[in-house]
Parts: sequence; C-alpha cells; structure tokens
Amino acid sequence: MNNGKFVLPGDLVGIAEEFLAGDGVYEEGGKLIASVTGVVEIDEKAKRISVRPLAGVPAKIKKGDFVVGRVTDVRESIALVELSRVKPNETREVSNGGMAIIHISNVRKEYVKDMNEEFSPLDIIKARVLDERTLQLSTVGRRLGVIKSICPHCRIPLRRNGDALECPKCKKKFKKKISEDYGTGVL
Amino acid sequence: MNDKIIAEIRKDYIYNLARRGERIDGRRADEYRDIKIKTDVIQKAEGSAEVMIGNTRVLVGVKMQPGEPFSDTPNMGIIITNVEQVPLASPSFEPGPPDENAIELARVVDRGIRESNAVDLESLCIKEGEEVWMIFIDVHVLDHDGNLTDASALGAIAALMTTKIPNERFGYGEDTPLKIQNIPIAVTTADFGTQIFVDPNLEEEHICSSKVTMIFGSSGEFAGIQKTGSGRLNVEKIYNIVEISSKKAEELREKLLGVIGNGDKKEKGI
Amino acid sequence: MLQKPERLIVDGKRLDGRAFDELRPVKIVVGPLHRADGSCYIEHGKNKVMAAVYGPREVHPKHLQEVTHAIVRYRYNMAPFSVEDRKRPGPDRRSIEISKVSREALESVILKEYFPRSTIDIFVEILQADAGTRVAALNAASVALADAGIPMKGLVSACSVGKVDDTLVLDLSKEEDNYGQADMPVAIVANTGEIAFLQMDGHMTQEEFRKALEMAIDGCKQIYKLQREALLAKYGGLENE
Repeated sequence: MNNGKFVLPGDLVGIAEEFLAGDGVYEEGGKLIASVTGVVEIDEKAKRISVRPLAGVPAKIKKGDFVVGRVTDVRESIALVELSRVKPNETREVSNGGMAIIHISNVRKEYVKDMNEEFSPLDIIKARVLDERTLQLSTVGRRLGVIKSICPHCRIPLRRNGDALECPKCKKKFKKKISEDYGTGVL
Repeated sequence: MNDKIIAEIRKDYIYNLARRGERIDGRRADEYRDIKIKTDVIQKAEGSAEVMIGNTRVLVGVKMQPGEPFSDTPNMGIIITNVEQVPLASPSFEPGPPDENAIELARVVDRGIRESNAVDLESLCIKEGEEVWMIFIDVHVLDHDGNLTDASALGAIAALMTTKIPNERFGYGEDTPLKIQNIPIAVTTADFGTQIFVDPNLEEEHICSSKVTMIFGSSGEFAGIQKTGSGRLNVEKIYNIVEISSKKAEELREKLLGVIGNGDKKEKGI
Repeated sequence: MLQKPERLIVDGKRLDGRAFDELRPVKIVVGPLHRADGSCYIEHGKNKVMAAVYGPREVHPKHLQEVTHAIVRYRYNMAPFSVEDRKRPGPDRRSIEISKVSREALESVILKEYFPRSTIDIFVEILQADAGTRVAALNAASVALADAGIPMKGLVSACSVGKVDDTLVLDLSKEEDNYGQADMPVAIVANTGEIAFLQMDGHMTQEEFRKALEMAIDGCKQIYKLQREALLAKYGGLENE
C-alpha cells in the first residue's frame, strides 16, 4: 500500500498484523479497510494507516471549536446554552449538538462571584468548547462572551457603552461578560 | 441545533452592509444571480424546464390529461399547480404534505399563470360540460438557496411554453403545441430598511423584514402581487419596488425568450 | 401506453439492440447539489435520479434517537411528472416498501456506531422513471453517502436481471419490465461480493435463479466500476489509481 493512494470505502489498505487502524480505516477479520473516500496516509513510526478524507466530512463538535448559542437558563454556578452551528464547519449540521454548559469557573480569567451578573437568559454568546462529550464551554478570552443581548424590561437590543451594556430606552446598565464582537454581527 | 440564533447575529451584519448599499455575496442591489434555463429535460412530461438562479434549482414538469370541467366553467380547461419542497433540497424541508410555505409558493406561481391568461383555457375544451384538458404544473424543488418563487414561476412558464398536448395518447389525433398567449414573469425583492434587494438569497430571505413578489405580463401589466413576511412597507417604497421589479421582469423575459427561441432547449440532461 | 410487442427477443437480440448481459448507458455525477451534505445524480437509460444525504445530524423527533448508533432514514420518492400518467405526490405503499429494503441494504455497510444519537437521512427523487428505478436510486444513494463522507464498509452497487421470452437478460428496459416473466433487483457490497439487497418478482426455475444471480452480480460489478470512476473523477483527479 502506497502513501497517497486514492481509495474508496471498502478498499483494502493493509493488514492488522502490521498496522493499526487510524481515522477513516476500520478493521474486520484482520484486514484494514478504508471507510471513506480519500488518500492513504501511513505513519511508519506509529505503525498506523489512515485515510485522509477528500469528500465531505461529517461535522462533530470537538474540543477547541468555537460555537455560538443562546443562554436558556442561569443558575447559581452554571449557565445552560442552546447551541447553534459550530464555527469551523458552518454549513453542515452537527451530530452531537444539544445543551451545553458554562461553569462559573470558566466565564472569565478573574474570579466570578455571581453568575447572574455575567449572563441572562436570551443572551447570545460565543464560546470555546472545553469538552466535547459533556459540552462544557468557556468564555475566557477577549472575543468570547455575550455578542447580543436584550433589555429584560424593554425587550429591545442593548447597546455597548464602554465596558458595559446599556438599554437605549430605560438607560439601565448591565455588566456581563461581553465579547469584543458585541453588536458587530461578526461571528 | 438552532439556526435562528445564528440568523439573529448575522442580521446585524447584513443590515450594516445594507446601509452602505452592499450585499453579503457582493451583488448590486438590483442584480440577479446567474440564471440558467433548460427546457425539455423530462421526456415523460408534456413540457418541462429546469431553472437555476445561483445555487437555487427547481425542476418543473407539466402533465396533461382529460378530465371533467368545473360546473361553473363547462368549456374551460383546468390548471392545477403544486409545489413539492422535497427534503432533498434543504436541511429544513421535512417529508410530508406541503406546508404553508409550499402552498403559498404554488398559489403565487398559479396566480401569475392564471391572471395573465398565459394559457387560453377555452381552447382546452374537448367536449363542453363533459371533458376538458387538465394541466398539472408540478414544481419540484431540488436545491433551496433562496428565491424559490422567481425560479418556480420562470420554470412554470418555460415548461408550459414547451408543452405539447398529448392528443395521440388519448386518441384525439396528433400532438399539438400548447398555445401560450402571455408570458408572466415574477420578480421578488426583499426589504432591508434603507435598501431594496432583488432576488434575495437564502440568508437574505431569512433576515429581511418582508419580501414582495410582483408578476408582470408581456405588456408590462400586473398579473399578480404577493407580500410575504411580517414587515411593513410605506407607499413610496411600494412604488419604488414596482419600478425596480418591472424593469427586471423585462430583462428576465428577454432571457427566457432567448433560451426558448434558440437551440438551448435541445440539451437533454439535467 | 406501450403496445405489447409480439416478441421481446428477436434474432438473439433485445428490442433496443443490447446483448443479454449489457447494461443501458449510465452517467454518474457526484455532488451536483449545493445544500445537501452529499449528493449524486444518475442517468441510467432514461431513468433520471437525484440523491441527497444529510447528516449525521440531530434526530427529530427526539424519541427516535438510539444511544448506541445513528439511525438511517431513506426516502424513495417519485416526482409527479416522472411517469406517463401523473403520479399523485407523496408516498404510496410501493415507495414505502422500496424505501425500507433500500435503507436496510445501506445500513448493512454504514458504520452507524460512529455517530450515536444522530440520524443519517438519505433522500432519493425519481425525476424520470423507466424501469429499474430502485436500483438506480440505490446506486445514487451509495455515491451520495460517499460524497458526504459517511464511513462505510464498502459501496453498495445494484443492478437488476429479468426473464423475457424465457431468456435471462441484464438491466430490464421498460418494455421488458412490463411484459417480461420475472424481475430481480440485486445489490452487492462490491469489495466482498456479499448481497445486500434481493427481491424477485415473477417466476424462474432454481437453475435460472442461480444463473440470474450470477448475471446480476456481474452487472453490479460493472456499476461499481462506474461509481468508482465517478468518485475518482471528482476527488482523485491528481492521484493515479
């Protein structure tokens, strides 16, 4: 089997005695077989054969991905977030989405006393994925945090005013963990 | 996954661009995406057309069969328009009977054909009160990237223009071309506050406050209008839309006549 | 309607001039659709078939989800204008049955356990029907799955064999299908030769069945070659086989 050879699902790429099955390869009856369309990649050191996909790749939320979602509930030490699409793979729906969580320790670099001062239900936030299985998120970072929020009384979008958000109508101020991209429409 | 969350954020971005007269895909406000029209793509249909507007793609098939006329119009043929938003065309289309969007779309396409008198219904009478030709216009959406209305309407009239009445199959002599006496053209615009954009793409469609479809016949007369969406439009804006849309309708009609007049329709594949 | 021809085989040839073991012309286009995660368009004779794959994605309604593996859904649907007499839109009993067995054929190769709690949706639209739509649909679906990058144990390739005028022929034409004595659609997993789909309608002797199955498998292998070429043309342009 040559490095860089084009293979389809079902093509034999090696035998299990010599190599381990990497991504895009599965093992059956001692044979290593391609499961996706792509090119063969052999890692001689790790003794691993993989297939680098050339066709589509199913979207999965992974550690380190940036995601956008809406806060649905804020409790004492966590905020619950309904996820929208994952950033690096915007056009494709993900298979492992659902409800994500921001723990109070992952909101800012600094100590956070009250979760309700950082987020409110309906806030739209941008966050980084810490754990893909439990969908733990972090908003530590300048561009992470709230990117859109509405006034809980007047129900209109808040405007950024210095390092706080302000309701253009009732002038009430909110501190919150604000993203640098607040109000710009940049994802 | 909830796409509405993303749309809410993108809304700010798109409106910011619109304020400067710009669009997310770089088009001018009154610019259509690339339009491709192919006819005679389904040989089993009496007439057919495939229309692409950018990535949006619809296939329209016309089938005809004799049937009983409505009792109040005993000497007129019948047109039935149906739209199938098959789940292949978009992650948001579900299998099942047509939903309100598909029904609205079908009815707007139908309105243009009917109100412009595109087809001479009296010529479709076989025996008064007993038998008339029924025309089924079936719109099959294949790829949904916005503005299905204009694509479907264009496909419907293109398919009708290439339709042959299947006389032979039903024992009425030789097949004859269906007579078309008017060419309705639908133009859809989207309202972005300070700007009116023609031919909204999918994202613009989700975000705009309202859309207006205006259908014009061959001499520039109205054959139908539909406002859709929950936005409000002032009278001045409506006049503005009429001006933009009627001009665009002429361009589209020329394009259509160019395709049906030329040899393009010989192409058989999809 | 077609008139029943007196004979379907004249002077050792079929009415359309094909040899007994000859496929109709097949054209495969990989990835023609923009919205779908994977897609494929096939023209097989006068059949025109479009397939799209979405997913793996979240399951709605939620109660259908499986904690250990992805579910697979397959919808075979005929366009109203795909046949001589307009077909009423929506599923009928025939398309529901075809959808079920076709889905099962593809489930035999999809590595579903990679994507628990999700769904892989396969939609096939028959835009023009001319005998053998279910096998054309399966062939298109199989390529669309590969286009979407869904992990599979192999590609599914399908073909039908029938019996007309007491003779076994590959890939029935419309006339042969209407007036023949038997029709047997078959799908195999090309790399192992295992059968993933098998139906038979009509009558054959056991001996004929054995021969028919052999012919069908041979036809499937020809289809597999074409599927492979189409995927290579789209994705393997620079690599050599």
